[in-house]
Amino acid sequence: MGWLTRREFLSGIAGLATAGVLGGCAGGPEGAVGQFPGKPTYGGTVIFGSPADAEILNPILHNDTASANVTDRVFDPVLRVDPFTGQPMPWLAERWTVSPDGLSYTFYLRKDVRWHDGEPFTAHDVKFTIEAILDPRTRTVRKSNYDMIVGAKARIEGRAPETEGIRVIDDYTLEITLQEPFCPFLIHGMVRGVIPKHLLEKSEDLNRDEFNRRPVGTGPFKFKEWVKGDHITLVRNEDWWGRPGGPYLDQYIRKVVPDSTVVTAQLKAGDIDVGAVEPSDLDELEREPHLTIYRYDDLGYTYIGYNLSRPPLDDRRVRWALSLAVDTDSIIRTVLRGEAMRITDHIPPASWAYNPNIKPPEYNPQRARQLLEQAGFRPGPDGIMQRDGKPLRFTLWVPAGQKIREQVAIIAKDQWKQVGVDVDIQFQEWNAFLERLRQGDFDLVISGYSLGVDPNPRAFWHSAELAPRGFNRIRYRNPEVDRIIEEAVKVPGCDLEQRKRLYWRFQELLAADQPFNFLFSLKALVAIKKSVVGPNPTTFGGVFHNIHDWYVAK
Amino acid sequence: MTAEPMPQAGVEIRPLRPSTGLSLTQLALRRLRQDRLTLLAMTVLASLGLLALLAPVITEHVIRQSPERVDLLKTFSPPNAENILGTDENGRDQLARLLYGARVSLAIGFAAALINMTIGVTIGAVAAYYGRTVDDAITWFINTVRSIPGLFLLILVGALFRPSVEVLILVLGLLSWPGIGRLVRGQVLSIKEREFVVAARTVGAGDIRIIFFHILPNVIPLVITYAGIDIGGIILVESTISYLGLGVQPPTPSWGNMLSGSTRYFTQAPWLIIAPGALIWVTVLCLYLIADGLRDALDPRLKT
Amino acid sequence: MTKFVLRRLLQAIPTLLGISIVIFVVIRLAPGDPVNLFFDPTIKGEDLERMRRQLGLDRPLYVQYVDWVTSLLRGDFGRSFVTHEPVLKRIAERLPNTIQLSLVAVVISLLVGPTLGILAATHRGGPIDQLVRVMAVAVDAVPNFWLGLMLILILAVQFRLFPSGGMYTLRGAFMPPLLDRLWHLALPALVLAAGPIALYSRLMRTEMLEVLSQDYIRTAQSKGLAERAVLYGHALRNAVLPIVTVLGGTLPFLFGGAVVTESVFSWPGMGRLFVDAAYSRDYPMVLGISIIASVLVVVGQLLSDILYGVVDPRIRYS
Repeated sequence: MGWLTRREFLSGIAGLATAGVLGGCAGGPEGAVGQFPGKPTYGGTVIFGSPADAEILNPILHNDTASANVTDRVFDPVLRVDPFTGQPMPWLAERWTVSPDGLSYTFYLRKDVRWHDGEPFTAHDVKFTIEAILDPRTRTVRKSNYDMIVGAKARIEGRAPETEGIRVIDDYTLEITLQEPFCPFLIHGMVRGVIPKHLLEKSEDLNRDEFNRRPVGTGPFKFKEWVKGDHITLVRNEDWWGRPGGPYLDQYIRKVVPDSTVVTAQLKAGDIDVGAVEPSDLDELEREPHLTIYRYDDLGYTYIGYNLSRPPLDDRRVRWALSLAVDTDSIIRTVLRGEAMRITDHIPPASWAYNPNIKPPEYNPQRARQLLEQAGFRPGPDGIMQRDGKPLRFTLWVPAGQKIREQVAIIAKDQWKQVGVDVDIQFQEWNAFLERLRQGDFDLVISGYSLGVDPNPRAFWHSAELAPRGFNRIRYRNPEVDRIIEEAVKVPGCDLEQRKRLYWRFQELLAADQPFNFLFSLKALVAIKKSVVGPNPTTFGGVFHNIHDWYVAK
Repeated sequence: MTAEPMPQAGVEIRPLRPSTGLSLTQLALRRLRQDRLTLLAMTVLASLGLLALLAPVITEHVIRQSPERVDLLKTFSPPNAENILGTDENGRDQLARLLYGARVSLAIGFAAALINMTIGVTIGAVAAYYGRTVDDAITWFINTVRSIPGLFLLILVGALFRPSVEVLILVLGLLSWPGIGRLVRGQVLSIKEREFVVAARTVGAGDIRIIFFHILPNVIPLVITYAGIDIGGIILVESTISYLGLGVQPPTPSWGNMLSGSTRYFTQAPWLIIAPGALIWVTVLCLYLIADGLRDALDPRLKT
Repeated sequence: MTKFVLRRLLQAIPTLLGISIVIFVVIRLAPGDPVNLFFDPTIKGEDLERMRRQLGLDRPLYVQYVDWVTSLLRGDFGRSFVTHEPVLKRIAERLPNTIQLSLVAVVISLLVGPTLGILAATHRGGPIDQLVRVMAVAVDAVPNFWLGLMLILILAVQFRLFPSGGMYTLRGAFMPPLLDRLWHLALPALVLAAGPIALYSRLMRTEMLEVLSQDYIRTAQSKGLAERAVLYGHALRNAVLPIVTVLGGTLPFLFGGAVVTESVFSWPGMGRLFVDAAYSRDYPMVLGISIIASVLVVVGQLLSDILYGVVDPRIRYS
């Protein structure tokens, strides 16, 4: 209990990914209402109990999943991630076109959308939103999502008052021109909530505006109140464009329950309707007749990383030996109770770019020993493998308070010992741990990554993104991988099949290099009260993508 | 907020009296021998200490379990003949971990108390003995340290640095001495005006001599009485921050951090939450009872 | 009196300054920074560097500290790195919750503790006395967080008599708001009050015994005053004195205990705010909360000194 689990949730990237998917994206009006028994009725409240409170309710400023969970209900994006395919789909834009050279996007916006205060929504709001992100005064880390737009760099650096490539053609038509083709653009840039120009253009400082505490959007739910640290209440937007009369639910409340034990207790007691489930609480909650457990695949994964700049970890045979020595399948079976998928590389099975032909390192301590011997290591008097008198000894850094990673570390240490590798485990607070990764001060590390909705792996694996600046923290360099990453984002017409072929090759290279021991991708588990009808969690939509279709059975 | 334990009635406000006739120690021992509750507490605490000391021997030869041995096929076994207190989420034997945890928790309690006692007694005695400016300065310093939001600082240090056991002991000791410092200062203030001190001074004894041979021996009963409360308080603080995940770091077991992981398994493995908590409780209870008993023995007026 | 208070407050200024330096050094020595937590597979390293510049983290440390102190002296605590709100505003949102919790705990302990103490003293040596004394030590020795966990698991989860956390009944509240709040406060306040109850009962018992054995009480008794009148007229006033003295020491203790209790009962007070700020390296928040917390300790101690004088008129403030 305590802050630990809360931090675990907040800080673990695997946790982050789960929460992120729980946050999901705004819902869609075409939800399959017909498939549920009974007739939808208006009324009722759904309470989601979650460890963290939101930080700032502005979709262009927040960095946390808790805030996203709220703003995704209050704001609508121009396009939305299709909850089932992960591809962009119409939302505030009824349709969009791309010029044959792949540089110019035209968005045709709906004409029936109004802000919660009654003002009409127009293309000027969309331009305002992107301009606000690029504005040098705005404190957001998302500027580079738009830096491929013509004139965006000048705008970011304060050399231009406006971005040349964003053009309002009329109130309901917007054109955005890119400098060079960039296939993830729609998914990176156009699925973010749009903020109202008429309320914010005169703001003295957008970062500090009261709006961020009392947001006004166009989404299915309107903001009602925020009791800091306790709960946020949203109410039905009766004038929502998505359905006459708005969502069925009267209210959606996000309640702060800082501890997973208490989340479980409150789920059982019926104090909350929706809550994430820890694998360890699964059996207990499955026994509750009033709850349904939903499982869905997640884009996050857990890995053991090897610092490639520290010999002998620069030797591929040593890395393979370390990977082969860990019995990942047993860990999944026991620690994770089977609620995880074995992965082979950076792109987990939930993604459209997943390559199913790669085999993971199967647990094989004999083969691990052989590989170490091939690399010149021999058993020393204490049973520890050594080369030139230097024993094979590493320090494994583990983020403190993250139970699953702690357990994996303890088990892996035991199994490495069986093949003559001596590993010392060190725990460190999450932020300090990240700093250590950034500075490259580690041998081995357990952490997690999350693939974006678009599989572009540039941030982690391109040699131009080396830490301490970028996220390539283990210092991975492979010219062919670099080339593939660059090529895959400017495939002509952004043809999916062609991108997929490139990413498949990327996965083969990565798996062979074995810079990580890619371990597993946890299933996202969520418990929802049976009386709540309509939930259909998905990888790309999370739990709440269709909350406007949910209703409470009477 | 301060790491210093709560002030205790009797100890906090009542200076001890000088004895007449029989020596203080003899009298106290005589009274103590009749105080069954205190004797029981002492026995329990001594046994715990012994078990902690012998933890490696006991785990290896008596219960034949290792505190580190992971067994994923035996997670959450309820107490049974093999694992007397059951196993945890990694299939490690709880009894073995509790024994090793006792070493850590008790060591932290005693070592940090030793530090704060040394500092507290020295500073308190110096302040009271020299008086005037020295006293003013020290009193200001004591009040300053008391104003540090100790638990906040502990949480901060724990959260950011994940201190080793040694650092933890040091931080706990350095934050918790003002309580004993103030007590000793008060006690010395009254002692230094007594006849025997005045007499020593008139014969020309030096300050150091007077402090060490005439004053400090008279402070010892107070310190002994306070020790139980002091150690108990530190064990409580340590268990609290370890429970929050900010104190002793796994895989080193301490009673507090064993609880930190186990709360989420309450319904499926209640032994994991009951046993460490109960051990902390019993230990601190014994320390407090001993302190109470010693106080009664040393200051008979309070005895009912 | 005014002079005394003023002098004490002035003395507090260097203390607070010292504390601010300690906290500043501790948090800035800690590895990591607020930008580390901004993680997203779609962004680039340059976004993070830009953010570090925007937050002023690229300036030398001493410049950052001097900047902060100069603003502080103007009464400006700065703004949170995370929500960009004024630090004081964020504290003001949470502080009342912590005070509410501590206050209820103080009231409970002041009602229950001394009552038990008087009961024990008047039944000296009897079973009630024994019970109260054993209970006091037992309650004192129990780890607070563990008591909280046990209460939640037994009273809230098993028997559902109390809520397991939070401040509000969000749905189907069956009580008026005030009662509902008290219902939510009951368990955490009880946990928080446990220590002080033990302390006060023990203190009260000792003092009552002391006072009852004094000559003037005997005299009063022999003059035939009713026992009740004797107790309350003479003894109580004297016995209250030590309680008042330790009250000041208890306030900061309660405050610290609240940090832990808040986390166990998901009570949105200062404690959780502080820990979150530490993890996210929200430097202005960490410093601001530490300063406010130290001010509260200083005020608590001052208050207890003043109260001491009110109860015991012999004390003069010079």
